[in-house]
Amino acid sequence: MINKLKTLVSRAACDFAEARYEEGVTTYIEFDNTGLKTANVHTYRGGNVRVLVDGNFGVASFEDIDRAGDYLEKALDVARLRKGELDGFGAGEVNKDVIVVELDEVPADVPLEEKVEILRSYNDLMLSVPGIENTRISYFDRKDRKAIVNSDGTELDMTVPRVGTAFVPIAVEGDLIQQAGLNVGGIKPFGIYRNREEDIEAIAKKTAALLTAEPVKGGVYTAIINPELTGVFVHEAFGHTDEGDYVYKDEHMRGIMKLGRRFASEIVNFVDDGTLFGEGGYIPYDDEGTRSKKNYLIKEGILAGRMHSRETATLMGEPLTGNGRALNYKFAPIPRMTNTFVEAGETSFEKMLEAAGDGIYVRGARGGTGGETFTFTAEDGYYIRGGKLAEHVRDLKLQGNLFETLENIEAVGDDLFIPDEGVGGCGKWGQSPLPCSAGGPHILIKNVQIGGR
Amino acid sequence: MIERILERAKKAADAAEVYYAENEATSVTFEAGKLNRADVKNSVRVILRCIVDGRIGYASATSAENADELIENAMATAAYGKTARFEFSGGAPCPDVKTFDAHVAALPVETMVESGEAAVARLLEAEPTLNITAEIKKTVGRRRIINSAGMDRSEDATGYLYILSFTRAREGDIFEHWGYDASASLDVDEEGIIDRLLDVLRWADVTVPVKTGKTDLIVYFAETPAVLRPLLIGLNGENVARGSSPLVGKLGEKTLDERLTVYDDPTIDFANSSACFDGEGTAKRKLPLVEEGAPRSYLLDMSSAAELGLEPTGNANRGGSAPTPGTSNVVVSGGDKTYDELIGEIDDGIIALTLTGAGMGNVLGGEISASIWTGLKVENGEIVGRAKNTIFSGNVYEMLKDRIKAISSDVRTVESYVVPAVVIADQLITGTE
Repeated sequence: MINKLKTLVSRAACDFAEARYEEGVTTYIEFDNTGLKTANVHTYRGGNVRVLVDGNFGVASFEDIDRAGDYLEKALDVARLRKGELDGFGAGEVNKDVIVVELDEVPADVPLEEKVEILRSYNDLMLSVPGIENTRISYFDRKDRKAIVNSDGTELDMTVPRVGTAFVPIAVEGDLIQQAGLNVGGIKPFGIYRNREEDIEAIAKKTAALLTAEPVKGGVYTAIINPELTGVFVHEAFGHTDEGDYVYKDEHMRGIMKLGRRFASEIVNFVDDGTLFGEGGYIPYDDEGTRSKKNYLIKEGILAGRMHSRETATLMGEPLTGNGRALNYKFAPIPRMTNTFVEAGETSFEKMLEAAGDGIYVRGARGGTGGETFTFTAEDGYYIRGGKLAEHVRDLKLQGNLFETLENIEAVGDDLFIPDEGVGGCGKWGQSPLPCSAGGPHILIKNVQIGGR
Repeated sequence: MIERILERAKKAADAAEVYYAENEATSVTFEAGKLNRADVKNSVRVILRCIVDGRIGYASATSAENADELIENAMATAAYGKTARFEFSGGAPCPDVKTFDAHVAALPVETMVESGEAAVARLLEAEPTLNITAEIKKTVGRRRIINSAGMDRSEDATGYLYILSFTRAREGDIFEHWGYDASASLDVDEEGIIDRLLDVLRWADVTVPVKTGKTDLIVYFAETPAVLRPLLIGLNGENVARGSSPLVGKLGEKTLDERLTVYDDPTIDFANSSACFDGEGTAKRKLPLVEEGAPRSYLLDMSSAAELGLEPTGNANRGGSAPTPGTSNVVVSGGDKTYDELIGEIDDGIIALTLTGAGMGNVLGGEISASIWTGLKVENGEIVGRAKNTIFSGNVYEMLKDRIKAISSDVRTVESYVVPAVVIADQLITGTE
């Protein structure tokens, strides 16, 4: 395949050309309370060409490699529509490599029967917990091989297996419906699904307990957020604001996100690290052929870096970070996160409760959206009274202003944890779900706005 | 090519169906007010559904070439598949709905670029520091479905999508707002979308504080779908069949405000989600979902219909490999007074122009919990400024039953929805004070 792509790239009369090809198989299995709902095996093959002509990109994707030449012409045609603002494409890394990620037990190679039976047992287990009336299990595994060639001389051939699952018990009592979830997955062997009875039962019991939790009272609280929610904060609220394409666009934004500016106290360190093997956002190279790296976004409270594609790095005159990612061959790479987390601090959870005094402990994330104003929906929480966990509460929605919240981080826990990536991922510009992991320790934040009834 | 897959699958399985969709999408993307890239995407999807010993198996691929691989995969998944309670059919006659617009198919990319440039120019004229992003996309596609009961249906369709957004960054304040529409034809009111963005820019020039408390919530046209969504998920036959919808057994019962009437209408010519047949080949039809506050029908595909002992309603969507019930174009009837008249009568309220995070709570239970991304404060019938950083939560089964203050008489088309604005009374809104 590399040779086919090289021929294609050599034929393109333009300032820069890149050709990618991807093939693989994805198995999907879904369960609900009635048992197995669907199982599907999806086979895919396809390619993408991206060309730069006078500073403007033309992109074309196709499913049929024999028609690659036609689509190269289409990409060149649309690239010529206007002159773009890129003056060349900067200095890219030239990498030649063949990567085959080996795992003890590649999930895609496990017989379908075994996958179905293990999921069925967990589905039955969730349903056996009193209060759990419904369930949803979404499982997928994938064996993906992709090749990347560009006119600078990069030639990469990467085979990466992946697996992900969301276990979602749903508790029902009359009109009241509550759900929580457990994600299991990443670049991990199938063994991560064995002997997980305790975890699965725990999430089902936690969900059932939401039925008797009280709806939270809206207001402004001192809050401790758990590692999962810390991950959502660092990814959704801060991470997206620190992606190259968000920043480069205008002068004001470049002023706000100026490297070296202080955003938080010196206890705060944010990292995006694509080299973390096993985590959902692990990539040996990004989809432009740049080697993945560990990048500090905030170091000791000061803005230290941002996440770039080659395009935004060029436009801003900053180093490549290995964040040019594409969902698949249908898309061009854009700045995306990999594994984003808050580094561990020094405060124990007990000390944090004491420091909070009266406040709220918020756990888990059903989702979140970011930007300067962020919103997260948590799974549940507890009021904190006199430094102790008190009543169990539910229906929590957190909202805040990114910059104020960063200033309001009072303590960073010593208990860094990066939860597994499930079946979801990050969505941006129609490219969803891109596997990304996010996490961190518990953190204590003052003046957190919580919505209630 | 797909006939060959069906022929071979019929030999291996008891019954089979092949769904084929191919499209080519051409899009132009503007970033920072300039054309950033143009993109041509060719997509092919082939989905084989087999019934073997009463169980359903699936396999899908991005090409119809490898029939053996597809059949082998579908046979393998059928061994563990769900019990089929339905049989494939040849299908009842389809309505005549226009889904293909030759003007979209013939639209030059150059015109799309010019359209984006014109939008950027108008916005920058009003405020030169705006950072503008736009995407204009046209799609030309064809889908076909054939099965072992003799069905053979195909349909050509076009699509046109127009999304425009701006960011106004000031120190300590990043304001993002957007407008969009989509249609099967070029009938997208681009000037109207720009006009409304300019209105918002003007109204949002000053930020006014919002105290936490109960007030009128005016759900703007584009966000009425977010408030309806939990209800539509409750009407989804799959959720009804598995007993997880609050609307189980509620057909015909007045569970909502009697001013509320909602149709699913796939028969509107050139509407964004119009079609002659659904993802299983079932003929499409206009379906009453809620009439005068009473749920009238569920959204059903073959599987959920069979489980409930009802007929499929032509609402099988084919996003993934398996069909799943969903809506086409959702049409909500208007009320008595125009949107402008309603705003004029509000003493104290917040207009939710855009919401974020609305789908993250317990949607199935009817919960809606959202941030008002772009909010405007109304006092004594006048918009007084932007309401920043506010959130609200509620349950739509209660909001749409007891707290509808008014429904606007004017309706607007937003992608696959034709909807009025809705005023919800006594809504607790959490502000920053």
